[in-house]
Amino acid sequence: MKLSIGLEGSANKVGVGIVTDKGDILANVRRTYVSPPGQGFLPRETAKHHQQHVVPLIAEALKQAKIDPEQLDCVCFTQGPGMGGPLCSVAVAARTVAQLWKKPLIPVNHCVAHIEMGRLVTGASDPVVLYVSGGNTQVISFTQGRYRIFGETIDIAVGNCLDRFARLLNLSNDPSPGYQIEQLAKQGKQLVELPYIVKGMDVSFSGLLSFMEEQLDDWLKRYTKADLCFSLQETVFSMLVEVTERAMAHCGQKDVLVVGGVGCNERLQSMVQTMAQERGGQAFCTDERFCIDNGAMIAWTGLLQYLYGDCKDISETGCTQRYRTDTVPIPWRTEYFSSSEKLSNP
Amino acid sequence: MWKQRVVKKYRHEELDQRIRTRRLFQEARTLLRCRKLQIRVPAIYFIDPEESILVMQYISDSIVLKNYLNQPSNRDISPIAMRVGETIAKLHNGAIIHGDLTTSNFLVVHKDNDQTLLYLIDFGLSFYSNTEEDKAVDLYVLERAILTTMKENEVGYFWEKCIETYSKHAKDASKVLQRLEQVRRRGRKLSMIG
Repeated sequence: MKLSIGLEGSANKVGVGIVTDKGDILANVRRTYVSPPGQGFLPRETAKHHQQHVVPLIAEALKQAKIDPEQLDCVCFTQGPGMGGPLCSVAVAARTVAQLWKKPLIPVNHCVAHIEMGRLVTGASDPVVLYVSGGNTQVISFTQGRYRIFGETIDIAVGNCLDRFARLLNLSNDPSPGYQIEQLAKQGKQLVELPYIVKGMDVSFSGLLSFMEEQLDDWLKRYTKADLCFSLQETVFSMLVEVTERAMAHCGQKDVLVVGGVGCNERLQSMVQTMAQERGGQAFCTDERFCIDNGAMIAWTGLLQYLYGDCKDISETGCTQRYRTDTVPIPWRTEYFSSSEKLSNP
Repeated sequence: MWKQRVVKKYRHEELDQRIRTRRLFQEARTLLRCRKLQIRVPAIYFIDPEESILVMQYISDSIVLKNYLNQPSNRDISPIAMRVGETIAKLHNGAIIHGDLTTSNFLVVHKDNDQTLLYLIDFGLSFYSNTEEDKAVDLYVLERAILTTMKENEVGYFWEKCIETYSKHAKDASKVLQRLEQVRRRGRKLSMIG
């Protein structure tokens, strides 16, 4: 049996996970940096948070998994994309333990890790992927050996749009601004007309956000905060489901997998479910343990890379803030090598 | 043939109704405008806003561009690429932005006399604009669609021919193409945190 440890810290979460090559998750621990209401998380404070927590988290994960570092086969970490400071902090920790324990070091693409974790947890074999989080909004399908991006945001990510709107309303960031919006939206009754921006398979949110910013004072005289949250969710999620459906039609696929932090929003999940059912397919969603950034997804994806011989020398383990999903080769998918069946679907 | 915009159950009812009606009318308006500009599009026969139905000309013997390009043959793809470029140029010169330019939204009719006709369809996301930004995004959407559906070795050539013809026919083509550069950079991209 092979064992892998993964360290994640590309945004405001720092996480450590330990997984086996059978896909068993032995540990998956996480700390979130929560900024005060009305503020986003800044790189410097977030990096400091990760630096403080990463070592205790590694110890906690090892204890929970009841294993010694010697038993590990590889150390994996998020190479990118993400925020520079937080990424570097965690990468330094990964390089340090890899050298201490004399283990190979595997840099992992964060977006690919989300997809692979989603496939592992739900058992979806070849779905169209809707990847929605605070920094990413992409509609992805596996073709010609890569996770190709069919549609994406042309400006800000959907989670960023939600977070920033929560900030305008001064909602709490604990546990997350998106969660606060989701709860408030449940009480919303009136649908406010908002810009609905779909360009082919791409979406755009920045114009919508500035429109809301401009109108906010006026609206608050006529509508409740709940109405606004409700309208925002209904509008942006409809846009996302529409482009996902278009991508599914374009690629001739029936199933859809939702990953990323915004993916734990239950309204979005139910919309995706309805759409997939209408098309005679299935929607696969995960809960907050795996939707939201975590160490296990890095450990799992890194382990797949390790099994296919993708180890890097320490000099090649720098981080990058921009790292496209479609630049990573995916040799473990069945469409690549038919013999890898058991690996892609453990 | 008739095209009905079906209710999307996942969408809020009010929002869904609004979107369907808007797109139906927009499609009808743009189809008419295209005909005036002598762009090949299906003719409209009837509109039913209540049921979101548009009845229009059936283009017989046509094949979707996506399938046409993926047919195994050693046919030269440059004439069709040039047609695509020219059609988009005409559209943009008339201040129409298609909004969903993909290889699924062009129909190819191959006539006996070896003439190839190209029809443009599906104008639900179209709008009117004369800005370089909107035109560039329109091209960007098509470029991406081509990249994901065409054989890798043909993409470059096809797109090059397409843009070459577009530049020849479109007003302010150089500015639009400059803008396209910017849009591309935006696409690959700021939002990479998560």
